[in-house]
Amino acid sequence: MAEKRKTITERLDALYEFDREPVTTDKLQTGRSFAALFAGEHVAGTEFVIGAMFVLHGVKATDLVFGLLIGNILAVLSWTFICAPIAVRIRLTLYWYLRRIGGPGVTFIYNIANAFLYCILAGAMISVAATAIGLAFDVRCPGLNEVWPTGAGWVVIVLVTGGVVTALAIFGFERISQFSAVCSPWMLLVFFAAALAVLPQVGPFHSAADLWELAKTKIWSGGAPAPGREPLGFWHICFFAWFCNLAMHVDLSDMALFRYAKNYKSGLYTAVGVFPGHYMAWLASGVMIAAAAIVLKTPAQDISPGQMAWYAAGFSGALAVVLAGWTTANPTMYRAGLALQTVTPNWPRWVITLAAGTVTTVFACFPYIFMQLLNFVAIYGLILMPIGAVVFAEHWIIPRLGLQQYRAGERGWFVSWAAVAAWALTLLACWFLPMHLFFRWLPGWFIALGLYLLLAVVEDKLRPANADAAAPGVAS
Amino acid sequence: MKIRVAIINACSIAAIASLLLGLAAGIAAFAGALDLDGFKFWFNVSTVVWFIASPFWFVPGLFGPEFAKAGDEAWLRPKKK
Repeated sequence: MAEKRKTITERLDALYEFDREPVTTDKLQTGRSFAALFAGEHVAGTEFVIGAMFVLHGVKATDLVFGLLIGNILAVLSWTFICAPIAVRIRLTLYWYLRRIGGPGVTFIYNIANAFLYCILAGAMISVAATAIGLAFDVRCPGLNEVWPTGAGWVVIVLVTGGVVTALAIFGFERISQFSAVCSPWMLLVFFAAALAVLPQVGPFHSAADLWELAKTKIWSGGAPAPGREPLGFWHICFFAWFCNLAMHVDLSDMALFRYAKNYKSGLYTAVGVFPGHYMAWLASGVMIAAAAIVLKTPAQDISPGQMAWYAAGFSGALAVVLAGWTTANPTMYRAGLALQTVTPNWPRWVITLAAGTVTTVFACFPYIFMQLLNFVAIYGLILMPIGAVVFAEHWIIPRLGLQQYRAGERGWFVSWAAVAAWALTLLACWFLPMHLFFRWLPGWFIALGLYLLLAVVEDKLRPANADAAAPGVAS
Repeated sequence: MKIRVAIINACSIAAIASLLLGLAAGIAAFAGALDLDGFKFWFNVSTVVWFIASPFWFVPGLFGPEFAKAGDEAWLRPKKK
């Protein structure tokens, strides 16, 4: 058992070896570098779906405009005051910091959970891209209300798209990252210009007041949601905008970026990416779906993202859907492969990426994934959220309680049971919380924090230094 | 080397111009000066120019080490410290 643990630990460490040491001061980046890094960071294929979903959920224009504004501000503040301060003090990635706090066992579980969630996310992106490719072959693609594959043609298109994305993730990940950088400014323009261009199709307007009236009555009217959708209000929108990147800010995975920051204020630069991607692009896709529904005389829920983009911007729109899905599915799949590499016995990287790509492509065949994208995004953040709370507690609170910091690393534990139990019990508690899924992560975070502190005190008493000698070589 | 620097500079200007063209097409359609089909046409032109020009500007290294080196001297590229 100890040997097996050692092997897993060694494999995990080897994967992340290149960033094992804290970032040195000569490698720190300026604010301008962070602004450039975040610009265009949050424009993915899924933005075509999320903005349209808000329309289907019957949101009101005021709720959307102000909910997104407040939610995105809260997200930027979470990056600035939760993630960045820890990153600039420690200058390690979450992987290495979590290893010191929870032991290699916790990083192992975290990686598996992350890989699975990444596969689903990449699946949604491939589905969205396939809706645009389907147009070219006159294949009936699923609308925003479908659960099952719409036919053999759809399945073939998804399999081919997934296959191409997987092959590219295997052969040319670096080139695709460069290509993504090329696509970002253009992609933002597609959203902005196409939404502007289709606005006259929604209804006539002669002033800003007319335009606002149009938005309130024809786009986000706050009427009955589409069949099978629940109504969403201001707080739902606000929380959605806040938690849609929960994994990055409150769950701390962007420590990998902010360890290069000169100070925590670099977190404010995330606004450069968040507001175009999660504000402008969502509003724009809402405008596009509303205009497409009016002009095509089709209920909005029956229109696929590809059809919507084709209607609004023609070939460029369809290309944007494909590229937005493709360029974001690729790194997501790559990360999934990286995370899975820890559990596969010496498989080469290409085999693991192929496995992740196959799973992802199968997920992508089911439009249910992108139909339920809002809920999936909520679940994604929720599942990883307790780990963010554990790290926060260990970093800021444990020293103030007089407990030894980083007990797992210092005492050579394979796993901190306090961290694992806090994680599992928090998710269990969140399951039963009597509130909407979108809101659960916030009380859940405080539950995780409290549970971890309590359990850490107990674990400290029960497992004094060097009590667990079953994991040789794991001490930091 | 000079010709490569000139190509990257020209491409960076063409890429920016293509974005402005796409934006102008959107604004023109919004203002009613262009119909939706006209917008799509000009936006497609903008797309084609962008994807031809911007790789030279953003990732000159894609076109070989000589271009990568020329990229360090081009106008709108980050300068090496």
